[in-house]
Amino acid sequence: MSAIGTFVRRGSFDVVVLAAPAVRHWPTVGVKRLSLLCSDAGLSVGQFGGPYLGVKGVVPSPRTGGWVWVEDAQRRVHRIHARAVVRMSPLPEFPDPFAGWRSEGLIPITTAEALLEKAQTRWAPGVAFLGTGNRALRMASRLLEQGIPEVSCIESHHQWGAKRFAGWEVERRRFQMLGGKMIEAYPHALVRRGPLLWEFQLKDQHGIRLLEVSSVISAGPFLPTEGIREYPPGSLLFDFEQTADDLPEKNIEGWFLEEERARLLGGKIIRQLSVETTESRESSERTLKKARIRLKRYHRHFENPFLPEYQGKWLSRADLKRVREFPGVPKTEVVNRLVASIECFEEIACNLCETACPESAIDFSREGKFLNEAACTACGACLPACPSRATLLLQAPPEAGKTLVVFPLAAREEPRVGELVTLLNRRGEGLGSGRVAGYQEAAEPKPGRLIRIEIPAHLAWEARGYRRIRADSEAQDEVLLLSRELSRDPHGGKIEVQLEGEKRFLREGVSVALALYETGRARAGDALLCPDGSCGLCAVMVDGTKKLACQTKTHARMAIRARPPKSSRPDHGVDNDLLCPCLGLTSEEARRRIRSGNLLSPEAALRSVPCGEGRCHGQVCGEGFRRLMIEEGIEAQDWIDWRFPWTEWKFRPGEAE
Amino acid sequence: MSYDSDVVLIGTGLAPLAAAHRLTREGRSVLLLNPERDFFLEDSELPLDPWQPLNEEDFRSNVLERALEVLRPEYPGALETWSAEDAQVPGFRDPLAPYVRGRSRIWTFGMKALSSDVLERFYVSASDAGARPQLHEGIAALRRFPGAATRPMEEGELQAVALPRLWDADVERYRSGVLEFLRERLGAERILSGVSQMDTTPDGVRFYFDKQSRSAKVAASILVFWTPRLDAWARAQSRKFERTDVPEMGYRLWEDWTLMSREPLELGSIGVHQGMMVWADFEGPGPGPDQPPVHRLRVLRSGEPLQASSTSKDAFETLDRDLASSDSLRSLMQLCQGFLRWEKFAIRGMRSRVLFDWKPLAKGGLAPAWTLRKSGPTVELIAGADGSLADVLASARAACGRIE
Repeated sequence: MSAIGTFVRRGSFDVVVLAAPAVRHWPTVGVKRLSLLCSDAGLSVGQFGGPYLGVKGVVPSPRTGGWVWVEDAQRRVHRIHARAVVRMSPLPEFPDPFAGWRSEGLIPITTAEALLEKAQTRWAPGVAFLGTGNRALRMASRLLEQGIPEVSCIESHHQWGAKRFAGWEVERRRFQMLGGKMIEAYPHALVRRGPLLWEFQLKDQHGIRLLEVSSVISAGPFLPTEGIREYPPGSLLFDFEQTADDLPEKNIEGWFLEEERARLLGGKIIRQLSVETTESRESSERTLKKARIRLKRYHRHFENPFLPEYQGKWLSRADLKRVREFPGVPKTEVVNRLVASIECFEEIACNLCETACPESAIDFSREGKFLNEAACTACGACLPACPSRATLLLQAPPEAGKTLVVFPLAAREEPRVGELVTLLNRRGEGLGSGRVAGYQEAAEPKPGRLIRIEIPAHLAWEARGYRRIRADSEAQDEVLLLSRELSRDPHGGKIEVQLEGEKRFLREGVSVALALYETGRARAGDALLCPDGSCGLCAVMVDGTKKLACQTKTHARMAIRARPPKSSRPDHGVDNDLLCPCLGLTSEEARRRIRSGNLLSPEAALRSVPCGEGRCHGQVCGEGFRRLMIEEGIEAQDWIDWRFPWTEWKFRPGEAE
Repeated sequence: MSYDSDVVLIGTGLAPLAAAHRLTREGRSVLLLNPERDFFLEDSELPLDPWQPLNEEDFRSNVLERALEVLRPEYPGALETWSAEDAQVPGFRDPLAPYVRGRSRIWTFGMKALSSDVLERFYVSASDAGARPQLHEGIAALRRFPGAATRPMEEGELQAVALPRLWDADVERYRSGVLEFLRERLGAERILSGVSQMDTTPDGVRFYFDKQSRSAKVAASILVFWTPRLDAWARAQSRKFERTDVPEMGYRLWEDWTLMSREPLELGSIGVHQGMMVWADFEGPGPGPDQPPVHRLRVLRSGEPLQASSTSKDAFETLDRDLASSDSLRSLMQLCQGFLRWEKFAIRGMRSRVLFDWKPLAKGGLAPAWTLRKSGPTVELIAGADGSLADVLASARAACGRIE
């Protein structure tokens, strides 16, 4: 037996920043910024997270701060005292429960992104996104660019505007330009109709409508949040939403937002904990003030978003005038030569084009984005830098009948020089034809291929995208996919395994969960594809031993049995409106318990509704339960579930001796 | 709206609710004041009586039939009973009712830990009380302990005393049922949560509720059910009425761990090992014959009693030190791996609560109470509003009986 008392190590920090379960990247910009700020103020800071330091939970102290339990790679246990605790939490990804939400037809967006990037999953036509946030729109646009037809984004919450996180209009324009559809409705049910075919029932003011889809991707956030919560108030126990990815290019507005929020939180913690001199006090006040101003600026477009009016396919005269007067749009040089046009009309937390410009022609330091036309050399570096494709090169001589525009190349196939393409407006509607004039390469630091298109002069300020003209585009898509399938070596890089007793070829060295997705046998439990295995929902039998599919790599001759996990409740089923799938608790039951007790506080609701006490410790149901409590009138906006431990914490004899 | 009442009940848990239930049946009007936003946030009621060491008095009060005498009258509906034998008998059982269980309780000791005199005396008195105690040694002592591994074990230096049919209950269901009934019976205007700035006045109470200052005239009595949440307020009241005989109450931290194991658990018994109460956790009627076995083990572990004279700063530090400490994990490891011989286990959850250690002050098995004011509407401070469900109900019942 291991003597646990000998390996529990004690430690103490002023501030501890730690990773909640299922955090994808560690440490992100917010963690680094917060740690730097606090250490500069003389506070000791500990960071706990990543693959080698698993955080088991926080036990709040009766005063402020709390005790943090951490297990390291050698399975030694550390009990750390912190005067302030900051938990970095991933953004919520699961929708409010509806019939079928825990079926394999619905996958969270993080899983979908992993499948798109890492797996050879073939996306079938018809993908619905639940949520219309930037992340959803961006991924939907990627799918459309890859030629997946019928991609739609569904608003599942009544606050349509709440999704305009930053640069939302830019993303929406791009999505619609590529042919995506926006639908305002609530999900009602997801019913299997065949292999890779689901009937998605949506409910709107006209009743139930049906959408045939191959998969539904759940992409929160479903409620707008401030990003930082403190609960209980005054306890110095914070929850910090992780909006940044590992690279700024992947989610630039999330990156900036997280950084500014970290400054804000850092200032608040320093104010509380630091033994202040006048100088350090002034410095932290300055930091706080700056962060507040920047955050306010990033949220300004909430109040005044750029929503252009259209008359048919054309921008209204007033909005066209606004577009042409925008300081990022060229006015003088554009008549003589190619010059960049920065058509990102909202004040968002992004400066990627400014950073990419080798001539410093783009300036964000003043109010709005400013383009110095004289300095612009039309090198095109700003075009691939913009993840939303809001920049282009333009040459519009006043007397000529033609205008030259340069877009980033987005399609899978390059149109031939001289080929006619359909020109699209900012909403993706066809305006007319243009001719491909050639190609050019964007300059460093972010090279990329650009396409030059000659367009009629009257479309110079309207055409902002193109599409190849095809007689039978869907057939060509099928031909293309088939040819790719055939050209792929059927066994190349794959290994032979026994899957449910049958011989199958899977990729080597990928997680079993990913491999199951590739074979089309994913289960609802695989959906989290979590980096740390903390939910424990995706257990499979590998060579007769129970293992987590997300944590086990494929290898040759392994035997996998992926039976659905046993339920402790008889009513467990994928088609139920389950709030907590682990315990078989429905939303209706949870509401009934809250109402019958006339409960007012989240703590009381938690005692009455055992949500989060199942295997996943609230990773699936936690956010849904919070939303449900808010709907029931409980003040849970700032509530943080500090129950200990956050994940099932396994002990084996002798492991730490 | 008039809040005038015969009796005002102040508390945060089940005790004031049970008292309200009893008093309304007697035809008195009551007003409940709860300084917390909801009832049961303190989680003051334990599902069983964690009594130890072995003594006859506690044994007698924990026999199932005796506990039902306390639990049944205070519940406004039907209580179901459960025992491992009853569960096999077909018949209707309300699956949503609170269940009171008769399970055997098994105390384990080292071979020399208890003198034969103590054991013998206890054995005789338990037999006299109608129970059939069993003494086990070695491996037989472990056989019915909940969670004991089924694999062969070495003969240990162990002895055990097993007593059949002691009670434990679905405390969550019980107290929710009482609250729901009273809300319907009295109406929301008579059960006020989130009350602040409470004070006693010569003719009743004054308090702040829903952004307004309010007062209530009281005809008979004000009962204060003293729990740690009300400690500061109760002390202030005893100082106000110049009562010097109200003692400093000691308290104790309780950790309620939920563990998971591969081993199916024995449902019919509750084990006691090195001060920890150990039982298979399930609600209601328990798993049926076609359902998977229970794998959740609840472990109730008490911390050291904290000195009554502790200042609040010391108390915080002690709580800080004790809460989910390395001692707790060491005890769990010792229990699961050293004693139950589990190959591995997982911690599913941990709840903590702070309860008063009022048992040393109890007289005749009843919690002490102090009358702070005898003239006008009396003000009574009642201990025993936290602890085991049966104790809480007994305290509430006794307090109601003292009202003239």
